[in-house]
Amino acid sequence: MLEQNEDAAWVARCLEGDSSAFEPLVTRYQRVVFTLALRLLGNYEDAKDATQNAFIRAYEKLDTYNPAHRFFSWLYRIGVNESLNLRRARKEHEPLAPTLQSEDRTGDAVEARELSERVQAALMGLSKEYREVVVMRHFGELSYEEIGEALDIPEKTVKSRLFSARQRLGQLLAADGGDYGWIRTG
Amino acid sequence: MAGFEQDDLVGLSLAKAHRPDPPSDLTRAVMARVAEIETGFSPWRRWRRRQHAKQMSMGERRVFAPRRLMWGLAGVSAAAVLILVILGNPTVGRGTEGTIGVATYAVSDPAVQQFLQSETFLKLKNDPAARGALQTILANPALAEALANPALASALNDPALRKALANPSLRANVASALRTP
Repeated sequence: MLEQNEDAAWVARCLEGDSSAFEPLVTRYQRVVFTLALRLLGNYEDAKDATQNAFIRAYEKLDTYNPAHRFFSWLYRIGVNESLNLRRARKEHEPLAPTLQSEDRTGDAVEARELSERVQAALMGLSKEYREVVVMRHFGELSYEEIGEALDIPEKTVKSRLFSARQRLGQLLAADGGDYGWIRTG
Repeated sequence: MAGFEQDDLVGLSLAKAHRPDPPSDLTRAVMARVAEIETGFSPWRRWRRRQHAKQMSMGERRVFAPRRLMWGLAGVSAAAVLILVILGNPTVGRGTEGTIGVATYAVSDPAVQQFLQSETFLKLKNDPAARGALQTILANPALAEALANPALASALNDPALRKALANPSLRANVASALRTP
């Protein structure tokens, strides 16, 4: 709640003409929006563009933000749209990357990175509808209600879609072999 | 976390998946663009944004609350027509002040501004009976939502229908129906 109030205060300052008040919002949410874009697009540069566009679009449209809802949910929805638009535009020219093309090469354990690559490959094997709900739920940590709001579908549909998506994801991870083979029978 | 089942290994795989850092120059790039955008806003856009900020700082959450209470011009004018039907042509009250329940709509359209400056709205605003009737309408979410339908608003603004609704008996019935919870 405190976070939501802080967000609303920064938004209000931006609307009064103080564009510097947008920086704390970018800092707070850039990671999650970027992760969303990266998981949806599978490409670092595209994800960067989509994230940047999402924040810029959000700033332009701040006067349509409804503070009765979380700023994050609203921003996330813009992020999803920007990612999908970018993907649509690119689709005509080149195929989607099957794995995560990240430039972030520092620090993480090889195991985590490999797992990440497998998850990403499986995610890219899902339909757009399935991938969206999985990414929003598991990487964006949005509630069912917030996902429904962002995608303009009923909460019930979110739950059933997520259930099917996770099943499909399990199959894809299992098909990828390794430690996930047991999922077929589990 | 989002509360998904940790014992579910699909969920666990997702939870363990690497969350990369955003590009280090992202904030700088966004803020540079945002500063340009801010300077490029028209005076009208600035005014509109400031109005939105005022509403936020005044804590008028009702303005933004349920979607069914988001009033556009269609809803407001339809409600106005209904009130005129119920009350006839309200006289401008002397010395009456205060705001009307209509303060709960979103001023998002210049046409709404135009309506606000109209004599019809002035009369409604200053007439206690009109305020009461409008608040009754606003208290009925289903009716409010219905009135926000542009098709209904258009129908209510049709002169022929308004003439028909001028029938005292019909007006009484409409008024009665509106007051029924």
